[in-house]
Amino acid sequence: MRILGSYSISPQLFLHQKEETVINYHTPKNILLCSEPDLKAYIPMNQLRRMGKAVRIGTACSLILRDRITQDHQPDAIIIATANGGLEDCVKFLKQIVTFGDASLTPTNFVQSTPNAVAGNIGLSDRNHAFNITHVNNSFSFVDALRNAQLLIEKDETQQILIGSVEEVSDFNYNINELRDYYKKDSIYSLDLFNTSSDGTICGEGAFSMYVDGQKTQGPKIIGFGTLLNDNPNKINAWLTDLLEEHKINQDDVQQLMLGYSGDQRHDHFYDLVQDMIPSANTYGFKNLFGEFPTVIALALDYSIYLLKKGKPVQETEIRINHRNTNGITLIYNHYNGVEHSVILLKN
Amino acid sequence: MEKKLDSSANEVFVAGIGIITSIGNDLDTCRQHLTSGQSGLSAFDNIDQIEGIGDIVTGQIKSSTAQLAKVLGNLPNTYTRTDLLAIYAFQEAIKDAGLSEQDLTSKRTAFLSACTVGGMSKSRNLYHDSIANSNPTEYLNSYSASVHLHKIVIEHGITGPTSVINTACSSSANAILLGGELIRNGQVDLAIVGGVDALSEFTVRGFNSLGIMSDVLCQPFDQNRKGLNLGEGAAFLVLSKQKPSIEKHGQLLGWANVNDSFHNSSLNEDGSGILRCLTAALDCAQLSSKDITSINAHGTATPNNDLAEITALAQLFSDHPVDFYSTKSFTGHTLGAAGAIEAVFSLLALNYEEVYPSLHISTPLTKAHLTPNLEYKKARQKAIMSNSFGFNGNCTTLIFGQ
Repeated sequence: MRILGSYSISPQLFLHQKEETVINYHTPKNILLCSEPDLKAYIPMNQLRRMGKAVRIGTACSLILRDRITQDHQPDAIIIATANGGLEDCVKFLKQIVTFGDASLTPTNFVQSTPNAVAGNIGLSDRNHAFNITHVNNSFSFVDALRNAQLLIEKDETQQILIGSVEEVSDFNYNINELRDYYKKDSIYSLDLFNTSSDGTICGEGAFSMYVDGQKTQGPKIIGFGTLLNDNPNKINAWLTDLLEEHKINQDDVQQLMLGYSGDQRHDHFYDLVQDMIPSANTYGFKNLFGEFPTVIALALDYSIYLLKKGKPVQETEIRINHRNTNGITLIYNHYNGVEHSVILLKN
Repeated sequence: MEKKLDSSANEVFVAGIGIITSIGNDLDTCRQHLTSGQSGLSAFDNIDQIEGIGDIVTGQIKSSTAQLAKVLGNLPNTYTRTDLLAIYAFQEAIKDAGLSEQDLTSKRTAFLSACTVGGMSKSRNLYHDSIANSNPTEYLNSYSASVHLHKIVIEHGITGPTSVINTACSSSANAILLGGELIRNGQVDLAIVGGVDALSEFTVRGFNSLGIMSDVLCQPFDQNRKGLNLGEGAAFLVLSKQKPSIEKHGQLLGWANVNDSFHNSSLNEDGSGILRCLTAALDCAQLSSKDITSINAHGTATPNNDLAEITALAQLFSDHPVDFYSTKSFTGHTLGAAGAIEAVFSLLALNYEEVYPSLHISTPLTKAHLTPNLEYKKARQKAIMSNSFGFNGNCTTLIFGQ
């Protein structure tokens, strides 16, 4: 399937808002929050006020993209990936329960917290009756959404499908992940992430959306994807080799590796393995731009699309440079907790 | 992904079923309840000492979480009620289908589940961990909606496509729909599909805050219905490209996913969104409304749902009557599991050629010549529709037949 256009709302502005501006974060808890564009033109104020962040950025991201690339054409399917949806609202509702006991509670937080609220709001904003679904398979959700879109396109290649993802930083996931020793104890500059050698990573959030179809002949193409649930590093090589063989790709055809290095010395060896497997490719990282969160692979895809289009990477994301081309195939590989592995193959 | 072309690839057989609900933890017991009109709804019995659920009517499975963990082989405390119900139904389904280890580990076997609550069944623990700076509970890694699926994938060495769907109350109907698509498309030979949800303080208080919970036995399709009762359960179906050697459960003939696109938490009462969904499912199954012999309605017993649904049904079945009922009057609304549980009941009705009653109706809600079925009866079944509608307009219809 070909990508007709993409948009993201992330901690970085250079992808779609302000070129050349790469933000280097330095926050007490290593949290990278989204830079939200002005959303008033896309969502009425009275609705914006009610929306939690995940619903707001997830919905806006898709509406802005539609405005930019397809004007009035409504998507033929809406497929959203999110590990957790509106967590802030979920915790706010739990707080109401704990605080107010048996008293009657206000339902807004409850309704906003359901992960399908993003896809629902996108459909609702257009009165769009098309196929509408939400995948919540933790960090696999985005690749699951790609598989879902591929299925629909194979049935009808003229379909234009909206695929989106969203994750927000909330007290819920930050505290829970902190209790799991997921984040670095010391505050660092985000762009220094790949130079740290300690336990833990930095925390991020973001929304992504793209239109894909099966008949366009120009533009970046998603040619393969896969997921693997396994904590054994020895399984990675065979899994990726199988995927490349399935799509008749030689390892030399992979010219870019976009790898999820997170600066966590306990888990980064998986990425070293993939670098060693394809020694001729340039290697880039992306978590020093966006931080770590379950569906961050969607932003890795957006950055890979940017790289193919501009031909010029953000210098701080370069990990290994063998050549100056940014052509051929990009292999995007990310894992979550060293257990959930995802891969996407992108061709220019 | 490798794709096999086959001219007969349109057929999707149901090769196995596993189910656990408040009316039974196997097919026979569920059917006994459905045929005898014995509801699983009762006053909430706080076997797990969950805080905050209070004095309400629920479709509760009468085993404590500790008992379920014991039955499944002394599983550790970190397995939530959601995980345990899913594992129970999954094991029954693969046993019923006679799946081998080779079947389960094949790349051409998908496992698609659905869940809305996940480990939030431990609502208070979740709240504690989300605000704590220290002393985490033992459930830190248990909260995600995907946890049950990942536990099962690792336990059985599943390598094929997986996903977890959350489209609220239509979640597991969409897992079944995607399994049907994967098989029809030739991408897999087998798909284990369904969903799970456990009763939780989060959902009880959530639905209560919306004012759509009944404090008495729910009365789907009664003119004076007061709202829904929540239930819990899990069901998985094994879908197969190959005709099973003993054909016992029927076929998935068609499906549709349509967005009502009207409101976040209510359906368009003119029935137009639902009607689109019903019509699209008939198109997918290449059937007409005359082929549908009965309907397992979504029938939550909320004023809004039942009115929207009967209005749509009356438009589709405008020139001939059709039997319809809501088995939520037996199980309560099991949220993410409801689509799969009701798919299983539809298959039972199909195979035993029978129509189940909608319980607790004093004054039937009628529209044109449509009136809910009040008594158990035998009737020839050709194709059965099973409806599931969720918050945010997520409507899904499945059609089963021989």
